[in-house]
Amino acid sequence: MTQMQAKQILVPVALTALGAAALYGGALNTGPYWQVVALTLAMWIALIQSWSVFSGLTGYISLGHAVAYGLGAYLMATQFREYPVWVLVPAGGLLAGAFALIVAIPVLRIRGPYFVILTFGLSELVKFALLRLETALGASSRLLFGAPGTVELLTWMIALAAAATLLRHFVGISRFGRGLIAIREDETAAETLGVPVTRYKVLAFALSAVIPGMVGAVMALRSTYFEVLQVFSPTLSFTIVTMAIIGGSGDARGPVLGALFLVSLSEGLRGASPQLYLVLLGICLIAFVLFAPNGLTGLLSGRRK
Amino acid sequence: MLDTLLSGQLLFSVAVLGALYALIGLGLNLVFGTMRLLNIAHGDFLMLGAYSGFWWFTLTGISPLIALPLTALGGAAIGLTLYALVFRQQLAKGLDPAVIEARSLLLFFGISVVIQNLTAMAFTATPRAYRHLDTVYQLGETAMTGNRIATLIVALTILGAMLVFLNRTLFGMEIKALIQHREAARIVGININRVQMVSIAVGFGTVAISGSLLSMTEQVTPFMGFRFTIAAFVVIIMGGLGNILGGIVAGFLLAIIEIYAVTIFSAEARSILIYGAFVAILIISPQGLLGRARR
Amino acid sequence: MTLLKIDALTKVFGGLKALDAVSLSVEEGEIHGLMGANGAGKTTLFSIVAGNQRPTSGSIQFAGAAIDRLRPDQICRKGIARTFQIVRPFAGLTVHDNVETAMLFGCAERLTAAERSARIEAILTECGLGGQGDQIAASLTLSARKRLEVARALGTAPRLLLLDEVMAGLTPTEVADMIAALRRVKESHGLTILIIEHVMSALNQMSDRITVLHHGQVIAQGDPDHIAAHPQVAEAYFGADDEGDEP
Repeated sequence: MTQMQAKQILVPVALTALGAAALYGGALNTGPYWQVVALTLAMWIALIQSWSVFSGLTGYISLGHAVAYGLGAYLMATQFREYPVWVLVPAGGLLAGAFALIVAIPVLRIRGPYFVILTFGLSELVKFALLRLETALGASSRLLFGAPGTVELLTWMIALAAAATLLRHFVGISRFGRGLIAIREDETAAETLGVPVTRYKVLAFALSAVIPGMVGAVMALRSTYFEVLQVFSPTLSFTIVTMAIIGGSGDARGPVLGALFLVSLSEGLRGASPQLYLVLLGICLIAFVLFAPNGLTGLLSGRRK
Repeated sequence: MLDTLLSGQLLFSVAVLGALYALIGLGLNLVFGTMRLLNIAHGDFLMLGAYSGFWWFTLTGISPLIALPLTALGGAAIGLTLYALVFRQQLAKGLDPAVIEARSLLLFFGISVVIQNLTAMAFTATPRAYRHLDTVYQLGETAMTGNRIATLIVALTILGAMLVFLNRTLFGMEIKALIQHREAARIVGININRVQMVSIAVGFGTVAISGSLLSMTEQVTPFMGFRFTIAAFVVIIMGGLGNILGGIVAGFLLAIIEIYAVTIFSAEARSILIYGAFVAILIISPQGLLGRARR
Repeated sequence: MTLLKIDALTKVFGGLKALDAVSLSVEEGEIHGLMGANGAGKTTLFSIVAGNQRPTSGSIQFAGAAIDRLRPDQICRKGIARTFQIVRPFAGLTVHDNVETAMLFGCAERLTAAERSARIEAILTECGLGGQGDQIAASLTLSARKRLEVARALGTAPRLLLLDEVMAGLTPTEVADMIAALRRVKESHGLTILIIEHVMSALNQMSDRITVLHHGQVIAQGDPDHIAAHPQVAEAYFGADDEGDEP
């Protein structure tokens, strides 16, 4: 194994495994409160890394990842009594991935900021459509009893966070990832130079929805009731994007930094109103877009765009 | 059913909503057309206008209609502040329009979240409403409340004034020139900075007025803005980005579609419809159905 | 052997006929110049050949096979590489990575990392970018960017190279350097070149044959001397007397 290979393969895998173990061990040894914090941290890492597989690499910023999350959660909430958890979680991921595949072709023809607001609109559309469906089914909220405890959920979530981190890393250094980056730099030139842009965009888009779908399925088990409006929340999409920008989306380190930042912020604001937290988050987004567009990883590497 | 559809009642509703949508869309069109700023906080500035209408009436007992100029000034002031602090230097950098659009989107996203939540912190999320000018006037079969008549009249007046301003005054024509072709406008000596400032002032001022008008007839909450932002985007995309007249027509079109759909189906259909229209329009034609492709 | 055969190619945009039954063939190993006033349809022709746009009617054959239904990335792998009139570098990537990306995707052959490295070095040196591999593309001068555009196209191991005004904006010295570089790479890579140029001296120096387009139609075809003497070309370029009366 060459030194380059060690650096690109061994080190990230080792680091990810270590991080996961540390988080897990630390959480188990402290109380339930910190387990929830660890759960939240792992969740955000999983979500942002997945988002970054598509948006970070191609530059197509998606404000619609709440749909992937929501679909997974919806599946879990409605089928919980019929199937075991270990079936529904991956199923949630597959459902989200399938949905992304279906909408990918029309949606990915649109570029730039229009794509961004389109994903946002799509997310809201799905939300209201499902709401309508729920009303028609006579189920305004669904109750889940007998859900697994925090530790089991934590196990799932840390596994997902590790998987997402490795996914982001390996896609980033692969030929596929190089193609996605070329798409970000100049899509027309990329296509003219041999990159199958449509196929790659669709693939990355669908891929980026799978883990969030699974995350949603797991998180649905956290509360005893499920409500469409809560789960398909634009705030979720907003938070993902903000954290990706704060952390930096150039490689797999950024989302981890972003998630740490977020969780520290919300811990620091513990007890204050949830709105204050969002205000600060908004201000951070603005500050980073203006002054540090490459996020914390950019600042740490000393680079400025 | 057909009777209902053609009734004066429905037509009146369409007129009022249409005028409102046209006005809301106009503000966005000005800001986007001249500076390519994607203001997805547009509806939140409407919300601020709505709150100012509510508080003005609640605290002074005077009609918000009288306070409209103040509301407009307030909106303009906020817009100009944002311009001076944030957008002016971003625009002056001469960046690729695509980059400006992308950045402004994220910036306004952040601004939107900040405004919504600051407002929620200040005023709580409890919906506010007040009663003003709610005498009902009967015109044949049609019942119209005073506040909606006032809304219609004010909105139409401002729309008319805007059209005159844009087509007959020097400033207005400079704005149109800037919308059409930025570089050419610079070359013929138009003071870009000044025109941008006027656009932003007018854009934010009109949306604040819309909010104030709306507060007479609808509940005011910190999160009411989303829906109008989406509507505004549907309007300007349908009418052609930067096409002022197209936007006005599109505003009425959207009102027709919305009100008739809600009448035929149900009230819940409204959200699905608006977001559905939004998604469909973006997929079919991000450059606008009624407008020309812009450079 | 005829490498590229364009037959009665027409492109209509709304009400505008950008190309009107254009026919043109490029022989293997030739440098074929494409000339015409702005708006004559030259870049449109390139876009269609490279697959960025679809023709309204007509056919294009490359090495005997029809390519007018293919996507740009497929056409690239078949062996046609194109540069853009307004250069489109991957601005955030290094010079080396720009070429490597092209090589990874545009080259039908799969190469090992070592092979790629060697080839990239050679290409960069040929294009006068040797030693600049680690520079970020955004920081290059215009002349260097134009050369990068060519280097990238070469990375895809093309048989036919479409050059769109590579000399525009260059100083006379830079033009001479570019001509020399193009001659070098043509020899070492065995290329056929179809080149759009406004810099007349360059076009005359380099081309074996020239096609002249005017308002989307071919008005002359032949070797440089033939073209220079062609009355319609002079008229199109310098204007006949009656054109001067137009408002």
